[in-house]
Amino acid sequence: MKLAGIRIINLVKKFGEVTAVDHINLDIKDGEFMTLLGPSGCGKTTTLRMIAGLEVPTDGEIYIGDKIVSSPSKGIFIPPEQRNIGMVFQNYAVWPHMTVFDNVAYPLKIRKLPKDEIEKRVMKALEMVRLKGFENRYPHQLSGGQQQRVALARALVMEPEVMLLDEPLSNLDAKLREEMRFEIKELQKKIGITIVYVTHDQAEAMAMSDRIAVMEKGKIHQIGTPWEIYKRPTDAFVAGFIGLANFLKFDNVSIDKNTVEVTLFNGKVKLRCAPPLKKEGELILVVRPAEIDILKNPEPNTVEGIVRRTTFLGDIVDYLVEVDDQEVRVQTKPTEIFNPGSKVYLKINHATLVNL
Amino acid sequence: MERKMTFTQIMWLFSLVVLLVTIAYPLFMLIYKSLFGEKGFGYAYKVIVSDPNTWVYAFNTVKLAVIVTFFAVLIGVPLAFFVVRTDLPGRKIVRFLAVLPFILPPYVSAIAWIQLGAPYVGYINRIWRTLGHSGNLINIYSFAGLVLVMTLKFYVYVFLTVAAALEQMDPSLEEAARMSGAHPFKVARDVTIPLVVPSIASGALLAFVATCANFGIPALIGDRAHYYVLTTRIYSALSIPDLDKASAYSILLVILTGVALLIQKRSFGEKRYTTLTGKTVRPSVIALGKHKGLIALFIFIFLALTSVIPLFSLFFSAFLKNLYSPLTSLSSFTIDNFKFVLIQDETTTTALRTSIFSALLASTVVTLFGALLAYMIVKTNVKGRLFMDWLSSVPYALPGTVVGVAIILAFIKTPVFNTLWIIPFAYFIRYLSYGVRTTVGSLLQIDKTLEEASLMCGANWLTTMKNIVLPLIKPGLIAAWILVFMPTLSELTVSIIIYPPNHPTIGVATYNLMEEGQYTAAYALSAVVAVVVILAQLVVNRITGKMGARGL
Repeated sequence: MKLAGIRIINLVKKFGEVTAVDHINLDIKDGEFMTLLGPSGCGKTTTLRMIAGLEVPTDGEIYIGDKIVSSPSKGIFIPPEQRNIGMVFQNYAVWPHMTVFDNVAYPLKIRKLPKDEIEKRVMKALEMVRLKGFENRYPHQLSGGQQQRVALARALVMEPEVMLLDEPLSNLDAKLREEMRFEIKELQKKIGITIVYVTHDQAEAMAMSDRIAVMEKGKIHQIGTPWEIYKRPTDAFVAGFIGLANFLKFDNVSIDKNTVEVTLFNGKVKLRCAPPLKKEGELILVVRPAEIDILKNPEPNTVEGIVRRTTFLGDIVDYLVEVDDQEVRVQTKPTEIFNPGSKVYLKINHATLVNL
Repeated sequence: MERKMTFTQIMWLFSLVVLLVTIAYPLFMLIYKSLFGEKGFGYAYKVIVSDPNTWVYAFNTVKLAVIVTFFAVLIGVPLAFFVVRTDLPGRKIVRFLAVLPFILPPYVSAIAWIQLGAPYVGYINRIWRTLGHSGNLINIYSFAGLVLVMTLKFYVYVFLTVAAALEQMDPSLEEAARMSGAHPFKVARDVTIPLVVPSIASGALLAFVATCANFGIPALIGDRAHYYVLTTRIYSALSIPDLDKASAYSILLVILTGVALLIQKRSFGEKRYTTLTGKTVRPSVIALGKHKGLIALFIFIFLALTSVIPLFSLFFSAFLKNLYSPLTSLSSFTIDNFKFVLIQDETTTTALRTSIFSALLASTVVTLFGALLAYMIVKTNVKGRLFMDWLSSVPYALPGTVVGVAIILAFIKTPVFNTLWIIPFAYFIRYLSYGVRTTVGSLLQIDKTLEEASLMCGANWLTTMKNIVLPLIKPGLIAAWILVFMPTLSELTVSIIIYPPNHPTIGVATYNLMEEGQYTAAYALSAVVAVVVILAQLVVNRITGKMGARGL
């Protein structure tokens, strides 16, 4: 199988006055699992549809492998049917008037492959998605998860260079969704295809992706591995979108070459953290609720606070603690429970400076 | 132990009695009389079966319906495709113009085409001769003329069902085919068309049944072409009067339309693909490219010829002194025709009063009783509510002529017959289904929790009805009222069968003017009907549009 990366240069899409995608750049490597993550209306699906050729870009260039597929300035636009891309849609888009076999065989029939070859490859694809024995069923006889696997098989059967998935799991129930996550990831590892995956579900993105591009309002905020995105967000939007975050005001910051020291809570706490990724703009301190310890007795470099709200969630306890004029959310293991009104001491283990 | 009946039980009993008397009883009488007529068991059937003409009429009905349906599909499907799936300019206007002939009563359309295409006096033929030709270009009083007028009337059924299917189809079904490597042409062949076939079939069925059941057009055009169909033959059997024969023909007509329904259910019933999604639908639009202008021109010329010109020239003709007046002279025009039908002529003024009275009464009673039935169907679980739902819908599903015959058979010996009251009574029977369906629609959209929330706030059932349910279904009730008022005001098919001699309706009066050869008066009356109907339709559109905007 020939593999190919995708290169997106200064891509723009305008719908009338609205700019849905605003000069984005993205380099997706061969065999990489790249997720476009963001809230609804951030332009992630539009970007995906432009890679597919289902939407015509306003400006910018898209390369698949070394082939340019779209460039308005050069007058190039390869229609979707000639791009050889597999695509899985949010609502499966399995054709209700065709059997499972005919659905999966369709891309091969269009390419006029010999009958026995079609049969062989359809069976292989169905086996891959664990749907062997369902060939003669009609879509309405299948569950949502099975229909989505038919769509997956249909996208894989022509052994495309690239596969695009547009929120493929959002119509499935929670349990099935988690199962399918691993299945898709396994499949991708096995055949090493390049995948662009669109979702608004950060857990899904974290679980599957090699890299994630976090988008908002048509722009990419950050591109990085799930670890990087979580541990070193570039800005407050990314920090807030991926996992829970406290945004804390600080008193003072001194930035050396590699070390940054932040003082907060009127000098009561001093923290060392990595320098902000962007060099300009106003800064704020991001502290994840799980990266704070809650203590009964004072220790060095801790700050006193009053518990305002305690929520027991089973495997964790969620606190809202008032410290000076700020509210801090803390999540700990339920070894000890502090009731509202208790005096406690907070110890911050890890913090990140980000741009507002 | 004696118990007082609850309010619901009283309403239930009342509704059931009304439905049994007004609908079940006439239908029973229709079947009964056709079997046990005045001359013994099965006599009517023996007569019609042994009469070769019966089979001619039945065959004529089917032949006409098949040909009309064929052309309806031929026009309706491509038009729907262009309107929904291409970047054709003026798509909203196209839609409006396509539906325009449909909202006019069939006899008005027939009259509009007669004044255009009648031999010698029709405008088309007058223009034809002005251009130096001799004879006639078209003769509307022919089988072809009949097919033309009916096709242009009924292709809307195909157009609307197919347009709805195309609009609601999930666009990713087609996108998936393109991603699979299919060219847009192949996408249409392999995905789009197979998915709309069931909708084409149901639109075609509607056109077929409407053609079989129509009376006005074959009565005004077919009879003069000596092309007789079952509806017009039922009418002439009644004027003999031969009630047994009329009822036997009626049963034959019902069987005919029933068979068509059965065939459609058999072949496509199970294939109703649900391709709807919760996602906002954005049908993929195909760019027509360089042919855009040509296609648009073709479609607009077609619609101008079929929708605008007939209506326009009808108004024009309504101002003519007489059919032979030269069109070039201003002195050929007068408002006397309108004066005649609206003020002077006793028959037409009586007809106006009768129709307005009957339409007002029928639409009000249908709305009220329909709302009561709808409430029981949707919001209660009383026994037999589905039967009541079904029964209320039967008279609209049957051909109007058949309903008229059933009403005669059931009520001819009662004192209401031959009085003015039989007309609104017949309209009530025929159009009850409108009131029920519209209100059922609005009630279904009121979530039970809205009422429950009101009850939890301390309001009782009556207050909840008044403050929550009624305001929410009010647009539906108004729409139902107009939906009944509009067709009843200009009704012909049932009226012409049951009207008392001294109380003609607008439809009957217009038909009679045409039969008597008072064409310009008939044109004026038709023009008045057309204006009223179009205005009423605009009001309905506004109301239903508002309902949509409120998410109801």
